[in-house]
Amino acid sequence: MVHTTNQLRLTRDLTHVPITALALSRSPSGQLLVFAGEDSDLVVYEAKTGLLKGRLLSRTSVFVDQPIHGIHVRHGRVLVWGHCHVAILSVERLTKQQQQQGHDGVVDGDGVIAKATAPDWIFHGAFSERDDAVGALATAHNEVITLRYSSDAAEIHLGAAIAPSRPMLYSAHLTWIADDTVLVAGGTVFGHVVVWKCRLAKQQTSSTETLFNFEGHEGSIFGVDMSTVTLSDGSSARILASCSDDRTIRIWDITERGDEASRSDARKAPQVIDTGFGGSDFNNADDTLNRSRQNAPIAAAMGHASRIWGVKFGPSYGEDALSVYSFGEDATMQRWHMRLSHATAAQEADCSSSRHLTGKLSQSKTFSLHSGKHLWSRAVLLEDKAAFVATGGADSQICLIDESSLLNQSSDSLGHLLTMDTADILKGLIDSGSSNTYAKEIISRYDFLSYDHILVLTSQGRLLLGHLKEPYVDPEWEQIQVPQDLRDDVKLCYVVKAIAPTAALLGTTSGNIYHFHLPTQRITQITSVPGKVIEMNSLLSRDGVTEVLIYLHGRAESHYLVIDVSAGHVHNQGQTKGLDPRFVPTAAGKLNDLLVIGSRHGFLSVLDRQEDGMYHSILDIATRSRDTITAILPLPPQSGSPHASRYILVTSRDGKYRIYELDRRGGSMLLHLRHETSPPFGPMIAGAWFTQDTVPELVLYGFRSKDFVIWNETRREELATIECGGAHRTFQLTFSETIPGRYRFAFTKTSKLSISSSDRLTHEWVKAGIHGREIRSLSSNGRYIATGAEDTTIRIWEYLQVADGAQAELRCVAAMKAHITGLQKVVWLGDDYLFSSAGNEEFFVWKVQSLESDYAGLAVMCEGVFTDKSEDADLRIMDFDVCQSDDGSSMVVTMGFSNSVLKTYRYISDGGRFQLLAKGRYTGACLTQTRHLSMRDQVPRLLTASTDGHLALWRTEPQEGTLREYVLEQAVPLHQDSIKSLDLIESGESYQVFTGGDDNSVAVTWLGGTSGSTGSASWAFLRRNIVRRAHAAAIAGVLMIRRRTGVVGISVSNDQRVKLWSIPSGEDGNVEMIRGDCIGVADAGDIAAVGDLDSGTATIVIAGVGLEAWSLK
Amino acid sequence: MGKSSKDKRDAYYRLAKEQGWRARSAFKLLQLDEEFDLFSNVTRVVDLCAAPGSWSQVLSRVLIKGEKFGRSAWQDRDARVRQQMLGVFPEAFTPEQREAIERETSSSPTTTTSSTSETAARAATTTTTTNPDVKIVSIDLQPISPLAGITTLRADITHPATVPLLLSALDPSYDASSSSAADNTQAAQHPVDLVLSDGAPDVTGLHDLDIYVQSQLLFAALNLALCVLRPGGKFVAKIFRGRNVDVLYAQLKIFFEKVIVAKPRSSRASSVEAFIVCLNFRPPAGFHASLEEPLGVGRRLDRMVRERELQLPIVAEAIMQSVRGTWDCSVASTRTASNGGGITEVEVYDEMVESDKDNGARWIAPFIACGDLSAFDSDASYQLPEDYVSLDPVQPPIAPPYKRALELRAGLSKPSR
Repeated sequence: MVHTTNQLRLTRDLTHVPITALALSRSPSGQLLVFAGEDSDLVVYEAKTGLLKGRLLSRTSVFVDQPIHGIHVRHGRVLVWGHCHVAILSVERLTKQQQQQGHDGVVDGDGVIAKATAPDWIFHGAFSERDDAVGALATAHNEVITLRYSSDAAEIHLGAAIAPSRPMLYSAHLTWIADDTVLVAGGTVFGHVVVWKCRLAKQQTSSTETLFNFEGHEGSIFGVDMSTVTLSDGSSARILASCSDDRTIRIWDITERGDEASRSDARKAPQVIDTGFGGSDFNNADDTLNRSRQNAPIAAAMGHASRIWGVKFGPSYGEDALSVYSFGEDATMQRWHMRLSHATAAQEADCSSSRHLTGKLSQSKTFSLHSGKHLWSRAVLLEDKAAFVATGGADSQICLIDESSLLNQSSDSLGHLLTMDTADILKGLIDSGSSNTYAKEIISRYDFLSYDHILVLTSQGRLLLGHLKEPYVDPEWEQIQVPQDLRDDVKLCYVVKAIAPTAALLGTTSGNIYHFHLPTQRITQITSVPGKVIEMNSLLSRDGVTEVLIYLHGRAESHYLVIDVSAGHVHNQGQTKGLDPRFVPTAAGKLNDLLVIGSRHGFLSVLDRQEDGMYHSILDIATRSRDTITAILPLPPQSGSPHASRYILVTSRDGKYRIYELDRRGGSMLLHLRHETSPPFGPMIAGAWFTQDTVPELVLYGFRSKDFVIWNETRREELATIECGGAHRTFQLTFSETIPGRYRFAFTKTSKLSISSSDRLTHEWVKAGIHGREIRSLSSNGRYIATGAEDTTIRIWEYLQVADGAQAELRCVAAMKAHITGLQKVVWLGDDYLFSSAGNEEFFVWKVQSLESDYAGLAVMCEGVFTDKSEDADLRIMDFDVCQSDDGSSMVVTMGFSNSVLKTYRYISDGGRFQLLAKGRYTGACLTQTRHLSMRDQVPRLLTASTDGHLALWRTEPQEGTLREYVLEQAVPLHQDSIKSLDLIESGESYQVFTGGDDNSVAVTWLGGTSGSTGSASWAFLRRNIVRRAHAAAIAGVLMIRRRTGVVGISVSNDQRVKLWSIPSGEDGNVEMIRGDCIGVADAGDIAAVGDLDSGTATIVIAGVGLEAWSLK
Repeated sequence: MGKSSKDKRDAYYRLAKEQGWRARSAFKLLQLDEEFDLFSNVTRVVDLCAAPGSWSQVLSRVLIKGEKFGRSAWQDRDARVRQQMLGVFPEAFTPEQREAIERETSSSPTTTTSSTSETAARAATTTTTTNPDVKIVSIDLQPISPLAGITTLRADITHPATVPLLLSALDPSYDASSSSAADNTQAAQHPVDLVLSDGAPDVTGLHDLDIYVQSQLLFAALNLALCVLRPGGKFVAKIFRGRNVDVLYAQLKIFFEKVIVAKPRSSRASSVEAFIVCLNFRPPAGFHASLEEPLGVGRRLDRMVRERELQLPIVAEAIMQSVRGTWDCSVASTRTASNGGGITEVEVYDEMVESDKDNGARWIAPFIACGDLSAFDSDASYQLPEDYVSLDPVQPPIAPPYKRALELRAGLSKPSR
């Protein structure tokens, strides 16, 4: 019975849900296709290696209420499974439909050729290599089910389940080893790995043979993979990889050698295998020992910070080596280097006849390309000359990593890291002479002139020029002739600084400045300064002229040079003046004519050039950092604007970057903090740049424990990670402002110079992601959506509606990391204030502004920090409401705490102060919802809801001084259990309150005004409606929107349904259900509306594990 | 989180330690019992996935030692006092209760939470004579420390070999070979009254996989229950309330007259956990629990749900009949009833529940929150007196599978620092 009076329709416009399955395949026309399972949809992207973002080809709804857990592509067909469901689709139809489909790229249902249901959860499936009508499925009870597909009838026929034993599995993998035989590996819940063969016979009964039963893991096996490798001696071996809850990856030899002894154990294994972990205490100790010796892994390694969800074999390279990839709960992928060999004769004495494999696993690289937790899906594509790995995360992001370069390398030079010392460099020089004293000569300073050249200085004053080649090819070196008379002074050189691709400056502790010119290879002294040169900063280059600031040891004053780049002529020389003597300059930048210098202790000074030609300090401020300022750069100006940029970006060793606005009014100068945040790496940001795109993007670089990281803040994507040992070392970076991923990074480690290079990005983001953890709260101010998540971050997004030729898009404009605990609630007040609360009584006020710059990021600054905490500061601020005060001069915030306490504060933006206005306490039950009703005496009347299922109304009474106390006016029971969500709409003299409970019910309560004896208007509960079985699970998100036809309520639940309700406004009528739909967001935590609500289309956004936008028509 | 901050954050964690329970989940069973009177006329019980044994401990103390636990075991007197003071929920109290509250408040107005719960613990326990007819068997993969009068088995409830183990534990005269050879159905000669399962897997975060694994535990428990439960018996198990849980409710309804989702106050509202309480076991005619065709895999349950639906008489509501007496399905779907509390109960019809062919029939079981409003709130933070001494847990937590990884990592990092 569809309600006929209301023609509301829900359409899903945008979805960001965990990527639960992935497959890679090459189309006949050579496209690299990425197949992704996004909830119940199969989405096909075309990868664009080298460029950013893949292209969406099609989206097909495959299952109902069931995420896709696996995809296998073979013979032009796609086998898809999830839970016990399987479906077959055609690659051609999925990739060709793009020509006919509508702009939204969504193809519904008709892409599915056939569907079937198996008796159990499916972990893996594969078509036969030979016969495209036959496939096999592996289930969660270690069973194999044959799949026969009849193309005439477009039907799937599933055979009976075959199993040698039925342990419960957490993972399985099968592979066809003959036309009628599959090899199955199952990873059990209890840490065993079983390997068995299954002969599938068409007529007679199928047969099984158990080959191996590996024990050793100490936790459930979450992933298994199998591969056949050809060793250098020509023999071939089959190996298995497993990964587990115990944080280990193990490689096992599963080669069948016709050697009965090697697996007699498995054959004789008792019918009932012991279950449970640490089975050894069940068994005879000798027996266990024997078994462990024979069935020991050939290699094992520990990795990842938490559980390991998957393991995959990668390409073979070099001699007897291959890569293995593991995919973790910690959202990283790790590449392992696996070296295989046969056991030596001595070792073989133990196990007589067979040649057992041994090997070694070593970690070669960590890829942290996802945010939050969980790499749920992965795929590997191995081709003759290429290798790709795809990862899919809970952050709804898909990454594609090009590992083809592994194939070009010998197994010994992993990674693009070249390491050398002076002796290595001089060895290659023809004219190096025969001197043998290089050992004492170490590389001291260096800088990149450009991507092609590096200038290196040794401790003996030797100047070396490196011509840089392909990333993993050694550079070609030449020695620069330093005139005899300069040599002793050049030895004292402390700084090498490139000022152009063809020129560099050298600064010595004796105060001399030398100019090096690449085309002529000449070095000349150009000037000297009164002190030891400790750093130089190139500020601005224009028309072959560059400005350089020279820092001197122990001096606040720096020297300023204007130099002709090629000739080295000093056009102008000056000095900074008026700085505090304690000021230690560390970084500088130019904003138009002004010079801004940052210090070691976080101070900023703005200097203006005065008539004497010197820069005089006109403003000094202490930043929020007490740590070294590492870089200062101007923001790009706004194109089309006559004004120059007013903003500078400042990076610091405290892990944050800040944007300041320079406010010059008449004679006075002010510096306002507009933006402050920390990127997800840290705790040290070393510098930043803006890309040369039409909309410039911000790229930051710095250190995260032992790694150097290059991070695109605008896209929130990690461009490079280089293990260098940590921040405390000499390093230099050269980068491209136009080609993402093109960089060289040089660093000193154990007195050696290492250079890591990349000429392009070797990974791409096929699909952009969102928070990698559950979103707990959503708020929309019409223009922007704010999300607060379990990952303790807040993000602000711009939602771009579906338009002609464009799909809906969610663009991240800001990300804030200040909370330490998971977010409880975020709320907008107007366009420029955002409030957020979390556990530990954390409450922040954020000021949000747009910048007049082509840089599109929003400026967000934490203006207020709530400090009036309880003694242990361990309560959760479950909910709060905020409004403008009556006179508009301040804001009023009411917080509901987990200990039943209510507090109302006045928030004054000047100074970010909180003044307590009123407090009260409920019964002891945790307050889950707090809302302002009308204001009275500067304090609001309140509506609260709590874990006891009651709604309560509050008014205040005067207490001591100006403080007021909340008095409970009325409390009524409504839900049986915790009220998890609440929304209210004011209509004239009444409120409609829509609630969702943990008790599966939604309720509508009508509040009406009453007139008390004192004449003060007050609120009272009028009527209550409840729908007891509104959903099958708890309802954590409700929303009401006003439409022309009346008020519509929307509820979202853990049962992954969204339901629309018609909510009558007046005295009559009851709540009615309009319609419902399935959502892909699990654990839905909140719901919000964007856009024009009254008429036409409204968009509702649902967030939890993932985020979806639906339009309501 | 430290021990003492956990004491404040989690009232039941603290109460469990004060009252000697092995885990806070003991209160979940006590509160379920209070609502559903689970233990009345019960002497034979099977407790599945029992480790660390808090539910068995409840069984031992209630059924064997004859102790009685009332609400006072988990009552937050402070909250009751405040409810009284604020005049909230007058309907929540009988006049006698209100009198009692007033007596308490007047006699000791400054009682602290901790001292009240201690006295409550003492007051809550009244011992009568022990019952010799009681038979309780507890099963888990993890070892369970011995409990008075309880047979503990270390076994995997999802494994077929566990059924004969359980049967012989329940009934020492049981002969596995003769019984199973006959028809491959297992049935206890002396069936039990109640089967409990508080089992849950370590969740991965992949929701439907977790729900599947949890349902496998539930079906394994149900499989065992079907073998040993007497007609009219009860079955209580933990469930995850997520996607497709209504399919599970519909399947349980085949075997029991009443199926209710219950959420004790001691179970956090923020958790997806709930308990399915199945009352009055009445297996469909001709149904035999079988190891050859276990529940939880295959389409057998779904077939049974559909068969059962076909067998049910369809009674048209008066509201669905048009004036001529014919059925008219297009009339407003809303049916309403007013309950005593002034709330209008609205029932709705959801076509999605009926039309899902892929995942099986759905049915939303009624929800009951148990443990009354005076119970401690598992989501609230509590203030403890300054001199409160945080107690150690009765049983230390089980070592995690990554314990060795942690040890290794610690070992590796030591020499370098």
